Amino acid sequence: MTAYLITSVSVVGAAPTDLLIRDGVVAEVGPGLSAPDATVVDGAGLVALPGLVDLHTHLREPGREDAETVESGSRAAALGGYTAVCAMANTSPVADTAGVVEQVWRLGREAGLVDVQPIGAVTVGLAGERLAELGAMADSAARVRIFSDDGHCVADPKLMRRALEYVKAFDGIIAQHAEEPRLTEAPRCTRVRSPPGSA
Amino acid sequence: MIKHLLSGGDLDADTATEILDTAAEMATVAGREIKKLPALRGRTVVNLFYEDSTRTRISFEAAAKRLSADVINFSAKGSSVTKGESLKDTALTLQAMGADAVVVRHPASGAPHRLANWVDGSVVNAGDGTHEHPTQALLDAYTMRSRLGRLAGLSVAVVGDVLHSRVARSNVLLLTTLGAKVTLVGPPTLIPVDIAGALAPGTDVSYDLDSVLPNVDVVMMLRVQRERMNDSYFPSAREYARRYGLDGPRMRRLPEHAIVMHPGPMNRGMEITPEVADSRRSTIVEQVTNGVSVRMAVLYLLLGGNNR
Amino acid sequence: MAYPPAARPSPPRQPSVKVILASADVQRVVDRIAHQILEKTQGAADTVLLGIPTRGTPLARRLAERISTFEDVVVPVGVLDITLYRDDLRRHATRAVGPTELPSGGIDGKRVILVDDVLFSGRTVRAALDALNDVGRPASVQLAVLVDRGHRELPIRADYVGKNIPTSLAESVKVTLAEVDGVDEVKLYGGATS
Repeated sequence: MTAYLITSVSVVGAAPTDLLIRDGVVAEVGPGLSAPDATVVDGAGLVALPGLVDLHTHLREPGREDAETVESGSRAAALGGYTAVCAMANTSPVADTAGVVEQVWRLGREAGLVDVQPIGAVTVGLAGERLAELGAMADSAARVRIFSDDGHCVADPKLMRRALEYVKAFDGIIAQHAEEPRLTEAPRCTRVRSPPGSA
Repeated sequence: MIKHLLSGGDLDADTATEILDTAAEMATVAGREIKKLPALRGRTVVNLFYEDSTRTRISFEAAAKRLSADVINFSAKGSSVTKGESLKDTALTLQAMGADAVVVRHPASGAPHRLANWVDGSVVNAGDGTHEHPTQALLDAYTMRSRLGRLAGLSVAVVGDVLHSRVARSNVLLLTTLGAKVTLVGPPTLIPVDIAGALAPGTDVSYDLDSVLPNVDVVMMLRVQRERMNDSYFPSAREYARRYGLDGPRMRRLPEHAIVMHPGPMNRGMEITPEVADSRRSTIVEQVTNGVSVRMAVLYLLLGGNNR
Repeated sequence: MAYPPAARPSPPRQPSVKVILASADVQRVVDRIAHQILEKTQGAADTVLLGIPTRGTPLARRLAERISTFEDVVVPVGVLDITLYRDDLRRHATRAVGPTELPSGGIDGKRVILVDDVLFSGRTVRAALDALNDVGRPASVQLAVLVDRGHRELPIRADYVGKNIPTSLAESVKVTLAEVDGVDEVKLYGGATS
C-alpha cells in the first residue's frame, strides 16, 4: 500500500488543491487533505496532468542504440509526463515481424517506466511493396494495433486499400504519413564542391 | 424441371432436393459392374471449356457417358476460338451440330447466361469467372447430406478466398435455399463487403476462424492461390496458413461430428494441412465421386424428358 | 403401373366404371399367385421377387408374405426402378427416378420373378429386363402380374396372371392397393359410353 499526498497543486490549470493518491488511483481531491501514511509532495507552483501518450516516438532500438534505447527513451518520456509511448517501426531491422515488435515490447517492460507500445510496419522493410505480416504482429505478445510506415508513405493506393481492409480482422489502425512522394520529389540542383586549394 | 442450370440461386428447395435424390439413385450405378444407364441414348452433350479444368471436364464427361449420351469435348485451346471466333459464333456452330446440352466453363462471369440465349439446348454452367459453379455446390450439398443426414439447420463455414470463389457464391445461394446457415470466413481483403446482402441475407461474415470452428457442422476450405499474395490480399503464405489454414489443432476444436470439405485442387500446407486432408473428417475424395453422381442427375433431369 | 400404348385414347366424356376385383377378390388372387409360384418353382428356392414401382412393389411384398405363410420359406424381395430404361422418356417431362433396392443376397444365379400390377403393351417389362441385365445375371426371369389386359406390343407373356381382363384400347384398367391408395381394387374405366 503506497500513498502520495500532493499538496497545493493545480489540476490541469485549476486553482491549487490537494491530491491524495492510493495505489496508483486518485482517491481524494480537495484542499487541506491529510494522510499520515502518505508521502507528501509539495506541488506548489506545479500543474498535475493525466499521463500523456506520445503516438509518435522513435526509440531507435534495435539498430541505433548509439542514438537512443528503449530504456533511455522511456526515461525521457517519463520525465516529460508521458506514461505511454508508441514506438515507430523504422528500426534496424524494421519492426515488420512479430519478432522485432516483441523485442521492443519486452525491452519496454524491462525498463518499467512507461508503456511502450510498438507500432508495426505496414509493408516489409517500409519499402511500400508488400504487406508485412500484420496479423502475426497483432497476435504477438506486443498485441500491435497501430501500423505505420512512418515517414515512408504507403503511396500505392491499392496496397493502402488492402492494408486498411486487412487490419479490420483485428481492429487495427493504419497511421499514414500523408505524402505522395511523386508529388513532393523536388528537382535537385546539384553542385559538387571542389576540395580546398583547388583553382 | 428447369431448362438450364446457370446459378445455384436458380434452384428452389424442391428442385434442388429432387436433384440430390436423383443423384443418390445415380450413385448406385457407380457400385455396379455395368456403370451405364440408357437414359440419354442419342443425346449429345458438348463440353465447352474455355479454361483448363481437367477435373470438372472429366467429371461431366463420365456423367454423360454413364447415361449413354454422346460427348463432344470442345477445348478452346487449339480451336477456332484462338483464331478469334466469338462465343456467339461458337454457340451457333454447336447449335448447328445438334447439341442437346452445352456444359460451359468460361473465364468471364455471365458467359453461360449469354450462351443460354443463343442455343436451343440446355446450358450447364461449369464455372464462370468468379461468379458461380452450381454443380460444385450441388455436389457439396449432396456430400453434406450423405455424411450428416440433413441440410436444414446445418451450420457451414466457408473459409478462404471468397472474393474470387465461384464455389463460395454458388454454395451460399444453394445452401441457404436448403435451410443451412453459412458463415464466410477469411481475411477482410478476400471477402466482398456486400456479399451477404447481395447473395443471401442471413449469411454471416467472420474474420476469426478460431471463434467460428466450435459451432459449425461443416467447414469448407477454399483453394487459395499463392499468386493472390503478390497482389497483397494477404502478406505471406505463412501468415495465411497461420490465421486461416486448417491444421490439426484447429480441426480438434470442431464438434465431434463435423466434416471438412475442399473443392480441390488443394494447396496442402496452405489452406489445409495433410493431417486434416487425410483425416476421417475429410470428404475430399467423396466429393469427387459424388460429383459424377450429381452431374448425372443434372444431365438426366435437364435432358431425360421432353422439357421443351 | 401399366405402360400406356403409343396412341393413348383420350378419356371418355362420361366414363363408365366397373369394379372387376373387389378387396376380397384381390387378396384371393394374390393367394393364388403365391400358390402358383410355389408350385411352378417347387418351393420357391433360390427365388427373388422384384417389384416394379409403383404398385408392383407392395404386390411383391404381399406375395413373399403369403409364400412364407403357406410354406415357411423366406423369399427375398427387392425393388427394380425402370425409369431410366423406359423407351418413352422423351415423350414426357422428365420422370423422377425411384430407388432400386436389390436383396442383400443379390440376384446373380437366382430365379427372378418380376412383379407388376397390370400387363399391357409389354414395354414396362421390356424396360425391366434391360434394367435387370445391368444389375446382375439371374439364372432365369419370370413375370407375375395381377391383371393382364391384353394388347401386347412386344413378344412378352406373363408366367403368373391373377386375372385376365379382355379390354378395348378405349378402356383403361386401374389397380389400387391398400399400401399405396388405401384400398384394394381393380376397376375398368371407359369404353361403353365413349
